[in-house]
Amino acid sequence: MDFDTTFEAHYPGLVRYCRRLTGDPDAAEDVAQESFVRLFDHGIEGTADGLRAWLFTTATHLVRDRYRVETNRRRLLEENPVEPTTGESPDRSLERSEDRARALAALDTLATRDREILLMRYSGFSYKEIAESVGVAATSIGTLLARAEARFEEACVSGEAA
Amino acid sequence: MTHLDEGTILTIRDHGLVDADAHEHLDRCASCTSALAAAQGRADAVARSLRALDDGPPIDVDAAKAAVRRRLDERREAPRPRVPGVYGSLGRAALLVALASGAVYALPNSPLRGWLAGDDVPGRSTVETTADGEPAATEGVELAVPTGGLSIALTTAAMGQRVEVRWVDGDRLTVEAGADSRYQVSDGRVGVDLGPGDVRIDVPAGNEPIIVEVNGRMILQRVDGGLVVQGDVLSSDPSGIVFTVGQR
Repeated sequence: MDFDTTFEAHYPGLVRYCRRLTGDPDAAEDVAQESFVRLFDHGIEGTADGLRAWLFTTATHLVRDRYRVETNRRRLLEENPVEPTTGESPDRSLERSEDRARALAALDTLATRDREILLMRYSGFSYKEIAESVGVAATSIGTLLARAEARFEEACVSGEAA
Repeated sequence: MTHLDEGTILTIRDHGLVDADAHEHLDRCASCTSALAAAQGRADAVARSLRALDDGPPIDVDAAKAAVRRRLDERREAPRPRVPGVYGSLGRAALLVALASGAVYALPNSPLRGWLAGDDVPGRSTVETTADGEPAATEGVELAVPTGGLSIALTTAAMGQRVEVRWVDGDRLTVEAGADSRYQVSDGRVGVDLGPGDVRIDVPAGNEPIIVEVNGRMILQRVDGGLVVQGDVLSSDPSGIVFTVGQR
């Protein structure tokens, strides 16, 4: 795959994943771009699925190493940075803002590894790919994911009730 | 009757591989069928909640592409931070200073791991090996490690890349990798952002504990005289082990 094809195939999905992982659109763009820089700088080659997995894993490690995710989430929650969509009613805008804050807070209750497992699964990765990315046995992913989903959902629900 | 555990139910929900027995059980167990339906409902709810995080400015692929091209150009034009094969005196001195402050080791569950992983903690000494070197057949870092444990973390490893770990006499840890690799050394830890090429790690036979990680996954741990190997082993003998980086 050439630069343009690879970029167009994987960049939007990677940015969305990084937005979920960091809760910060600017940091997400930075991490996604750095992942692509490393991909091309190191001359990594492979199938489309293989390159996608490499990019997401690299981005996960960059976030883990570079950004203090919890700190960012708390700051973002405090700043409540959701911008209203043009033409959207104030009520709908408020509702979206609350949904976003609740999801960020719920992710914040998860351990780093559980958060990565949850977000990779909901980005469409297989258990095997997730296992190799986070460094656990593939047979453990179901159990870890069940725990992460339950905790996330519970936190979302308690956030709604609050 | 033994019901399916939650992990198996999720694996079935997500179309993963489980024993045929699990599917047979599901066909005749109302309780597990109900649990599967609940798991599906939870997946829908989680997906809905996560979509709330997708809000943000539109993703401008063309602008991002241009930014990445710029970064690549800058990186290719800039001199690579390298430590030459003869281990330049500046880099070597810096590394020895870093190690002199005490080799530190953290077991996988130790809170020290976060510290070693790069959290900003006051007092942490980190040395970037920025000494420019002449082209050399091998490049890497060499550290004097009289005692204690070590963690070697290799990142951005490519599928099929070869990693050789050898036990050696003396007190020198050596990590050598491809010419485009970048090294970061802090107390008790060597991090290598790998470029293409084989990796060779010479570990002093007397030091423990030792951890070698590839892309965040532990492939080897030596502790209390025992060896735990989790990577994809290409070959093994008493003097060391050769791994190959597995498919992601």
